[in-house]
Amino acid sequence: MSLFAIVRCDHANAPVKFHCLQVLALALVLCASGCIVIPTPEFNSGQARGNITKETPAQFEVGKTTRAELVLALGEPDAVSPDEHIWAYRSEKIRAIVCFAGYTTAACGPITKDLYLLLQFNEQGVLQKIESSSHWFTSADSDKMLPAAAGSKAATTDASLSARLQKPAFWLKGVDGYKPRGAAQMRGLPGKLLLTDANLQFFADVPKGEFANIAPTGPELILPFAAITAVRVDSYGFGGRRLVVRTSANEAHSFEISKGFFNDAEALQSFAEFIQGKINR
Amino acid sequence: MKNVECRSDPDPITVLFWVVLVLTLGACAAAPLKGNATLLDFLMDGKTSRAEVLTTLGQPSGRFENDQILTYRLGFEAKNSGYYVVEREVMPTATWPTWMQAKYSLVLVFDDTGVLSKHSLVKVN
Repeated sequence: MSLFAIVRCDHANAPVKFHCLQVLALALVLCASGCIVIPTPEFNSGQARGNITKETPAQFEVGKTTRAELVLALGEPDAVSPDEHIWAYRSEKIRAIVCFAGYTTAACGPITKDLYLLLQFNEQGVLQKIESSSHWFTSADSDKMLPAAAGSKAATTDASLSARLQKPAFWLKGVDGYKPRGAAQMRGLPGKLLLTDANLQFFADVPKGEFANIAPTGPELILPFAAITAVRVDSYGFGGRRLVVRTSANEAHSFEISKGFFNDAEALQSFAEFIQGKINR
Repeated sequence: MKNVECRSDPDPITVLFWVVLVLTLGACAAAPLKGNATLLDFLMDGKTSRAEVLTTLGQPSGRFENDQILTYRLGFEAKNSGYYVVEREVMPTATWPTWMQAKYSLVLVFDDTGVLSKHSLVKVN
């Protein structure tokens, strides 16, 4: 069979993330190691929406089409930025099936190509820019595609300006370090922990699967340093660390700051020392 | 002369036969249809209010432009040509939502007074 049959190179469809040469090289490597690539007619994978094609952008007019007109034509977007200025649509097409065979086992899977449509609107909701791009084999990261959606939310911007320390973190409400029994297995709420000169703030991330535009507009937790009576870093097992603060109302809050697979002991210590310095005053 | 009533305990094999038969036939019974062919009949541009939409269809999967645009994901039951509302689905390992359950996207655009001004049912998958 022809290796070249699986690749439909489309240089006009820039920016193509996976170039033709790379696809050919990969196919060559795969086939040399005992696999078959079966080209298929392009069809929707069924997992993503199927109503986005390369011809879709031509339906809309920059400077004229409104957000309402666009959504009436294409349906609910797949992602939006917190300010709703950027909308994204994604379709996933299967272009070939690849089968690997060993001495005793065999497995097959699809070769997919994602098509993305990014639409930018102005304050009045009028289309300003359309960009289409494609991605082979895996999906592009929606957080990178819509950078504003990657952070906790737009509301963190003001707080970030006055923050002395800030890190992505997990908040365990009402948890006192690794106590009581079972607390070690608890997973906190993901978000961002900020320390300003006056208080501790925690901003929750947008829940997975929700549109970024419905993010809450304020911090989930604000603890003035005057209300914090004690701070410490608790350890547990191999590398487990949590920042623990206790308040004058006898409430406990724990925070985890991760660095790769482990807790960031250095960052936790810095946060603890900063808070300690504030509550000693 | 006395009438003698013979009673015998049921044969375990017979009991097992009936239990298996009932369970098997029960499994064959048709599941209730999820779709409702008249689900969207209440939607009328210029008349239907946002409150009516929320009462009838529940929480939307998307809200945009300060709730002037609401979107719902709809599944479709071919047997009765009926629609049903499904939630936004995201695979645990993915960042993008999937459209495996939903076949249609219902888009509702409201005017400043909260009355439906335009709507469309877009075939998505």
